[in-house]
Amino acid sequence: MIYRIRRPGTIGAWYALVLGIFMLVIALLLLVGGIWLVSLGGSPYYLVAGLGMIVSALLIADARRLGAWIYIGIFVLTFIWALWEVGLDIWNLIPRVFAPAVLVLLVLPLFRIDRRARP
Amino acid sequence: MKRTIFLMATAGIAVAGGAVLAQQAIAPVPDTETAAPSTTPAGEWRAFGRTAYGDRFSPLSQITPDNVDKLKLAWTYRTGDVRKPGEGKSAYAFEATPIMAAGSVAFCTPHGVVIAIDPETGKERWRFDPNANTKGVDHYACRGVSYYEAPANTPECAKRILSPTLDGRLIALDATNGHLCRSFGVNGMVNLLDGLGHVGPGYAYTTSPPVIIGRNAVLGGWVYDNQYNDEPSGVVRAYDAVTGKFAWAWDAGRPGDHGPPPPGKTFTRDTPNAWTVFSADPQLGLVYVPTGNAPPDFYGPNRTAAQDEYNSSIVALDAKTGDVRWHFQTTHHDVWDFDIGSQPVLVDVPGQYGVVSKALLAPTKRGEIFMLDRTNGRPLAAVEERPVPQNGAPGERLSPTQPFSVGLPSMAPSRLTEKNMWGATPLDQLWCRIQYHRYRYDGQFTPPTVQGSITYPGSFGVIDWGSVSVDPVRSLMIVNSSWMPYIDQLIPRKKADQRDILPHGSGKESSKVNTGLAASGGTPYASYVRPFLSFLGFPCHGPPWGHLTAVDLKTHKIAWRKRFGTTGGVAPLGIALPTGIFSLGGSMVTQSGLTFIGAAVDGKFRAFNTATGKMLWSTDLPAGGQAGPMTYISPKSGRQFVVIAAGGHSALKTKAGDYVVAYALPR
Repeated sequence: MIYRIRRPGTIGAWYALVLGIFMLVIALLLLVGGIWLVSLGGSPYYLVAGLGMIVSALLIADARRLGAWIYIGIFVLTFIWALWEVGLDIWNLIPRVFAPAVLVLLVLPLFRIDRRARP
Repeated sequence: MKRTIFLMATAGIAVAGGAVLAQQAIAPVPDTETAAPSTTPAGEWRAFGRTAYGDRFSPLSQITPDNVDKLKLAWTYRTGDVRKPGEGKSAYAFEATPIMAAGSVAFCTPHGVVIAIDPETGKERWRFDPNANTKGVDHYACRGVSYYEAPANTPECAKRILSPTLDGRLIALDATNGHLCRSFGVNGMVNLLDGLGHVGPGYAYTTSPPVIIGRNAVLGGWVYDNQYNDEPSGVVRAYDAVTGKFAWAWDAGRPGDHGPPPPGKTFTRDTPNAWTVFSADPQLGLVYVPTGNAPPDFYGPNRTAAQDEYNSSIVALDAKTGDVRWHFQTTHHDVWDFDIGSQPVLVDVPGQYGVVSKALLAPTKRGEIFMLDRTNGRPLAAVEERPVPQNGAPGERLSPTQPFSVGLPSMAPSRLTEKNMWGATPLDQLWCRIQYHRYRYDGQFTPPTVQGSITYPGSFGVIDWGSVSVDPVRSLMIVNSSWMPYIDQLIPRKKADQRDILPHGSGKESSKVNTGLAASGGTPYASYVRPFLSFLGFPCHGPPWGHLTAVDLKTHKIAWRKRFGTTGGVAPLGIALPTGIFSLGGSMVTQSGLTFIGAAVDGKFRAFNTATGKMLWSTDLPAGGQAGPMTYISPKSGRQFVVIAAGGHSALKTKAGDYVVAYALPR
């Protein structure tokens, strides 16, 4: 099921590492802020999303394709949550889904790199 | 039950009969009423709100909903008055609504330079620079000039322009050549600082044109907000528009005494100041004064009875004597800076039994618009006192209730929830959600606290000095409104002192102007009041941020409502999202059914169909249009022009400039 896209020293592996670290930073911010928010009685979304993203980011940094799948899963759930919170109000959907959608675009090349990188 | 109905019917008939009698008894308006609705020529615009009624309605109809899309730039005039380094730390804004009278378009610049230009070509005819001493001035604004036609036997300046200055003077100029009217006051000027006692540099001056009623020019003044609790008086004064002679004063601290202060005394210090534009009804002989708060705004246990009675109110004064005929308070014990920025609008509205009511519309920063009977101050649209949050800062005594204008649609936003928190990304949205829970928020009228309180609506105002305009033909009131929550926070004095949060003029505080920090000296707390923004500077609350609404004054229902303006000009890369945006400045309506408005921070100038709300025309202004538009007929060509000042507003960070632009149909 899980097979590595990593081939040490390839551009693809470096891309995965950098993207993974970037996502990990965001994930930690979401987690810390999310814990704070829950402690104040706020929405648990950020805490849950932060936890999911930590797993995804670590796998992506290690160039594992599963990380990309997990992130796409988080994005789909995020979209559903956003619709639940604000409905189809596009300008209020933006802060919830726009940046995560950009991350999806950054994650997608992992699949392409995988195909090219295979021997 | 039957008896009650009978009584009501009888009362109704009695009221109706009384009104008819009252109307018959009204004397014709005397010749000296320069800015009365009945004496203002159709093609002119003689005051901030066109007439002393302030309805911003022009009877012109050359430009119509059918041809407005052909409007073209007719001329551009540049005043040369631009912000110099270090000026306007609090605000630098070209807020003037030009007037058109005596054959010229006239206005004042942020520095108070009075300029008259040719209505047809935009060429300068004359200018008068009062060379105001701007030491200590942080707030550069002048909302316009007033026009007065003197009685026939007056030796000089038969037609004159009255204008305030940044250093507390009222000047009178000959409208035809801009020369000082030497017989007015001392060499053409009245010193408004007389009787105020100690006035620190930049602490008290007038930024709005006086209202003209009969022979009197009536004006208040702006007093530096939130510095300490012994600031100059907010006294309202009337001067003879011919001689500049003091006529009367309304000093909230000396009821019934309308003369100048006795020798060695001053007008009562720290009374509610009235900084915005007044309106007047020459037939009733009343001046309507919208008041602000006696400083400081955010903590008020030691306020005097006079302050608590007259803060944030509409006060109707007898234009001949200065006596208070009635007053109506829009916020009790105001600790939110809900001073009334909007000129009251006088309209005659059809009511029950076919009786026309003499109404006064009082738009407020709260977004409530009160409709009062301007003869006696009683509500014409129901007003309800509703319980509001309690338990303010230690020692604070809050009003248990506040008035809500339930008889007219409210422009106020609904209560914020965590879901309303916004941001450009999930991270700043998360930050805003955390802040939302950290601050105190119990809905509207959450009192300022040391913890920090969300104030929504906040002191930016749902409606501010742009006020509203009223189309009497269609019985529609046009309202541009902004939704901007604020954080109102108190800082204990000891901490404030450690941080050098000191009153204006103390030396160390200058870097703190425009950060929202103010000393509020003489109380146990300084104040820190700012918009609720994320660390990226985006609003913490989601759109819509601005609306344009038409309210039917017959049915008291919303006729139409739409998001007003885009994020163009304020969003990164100028991305124009149709979210509705903040606006500052007013609108204007015409007989032909058009509403013109700049105001939005997106830098556009737009025309709407007043009846339907459809946008029919829009153009890019050369700089921020945080001002009110006006219209007139050029005497030379008989063509209708639409004019607006475009100079930007520094506090809103709109594009700065020094433009006055005119639009007209191509010949």
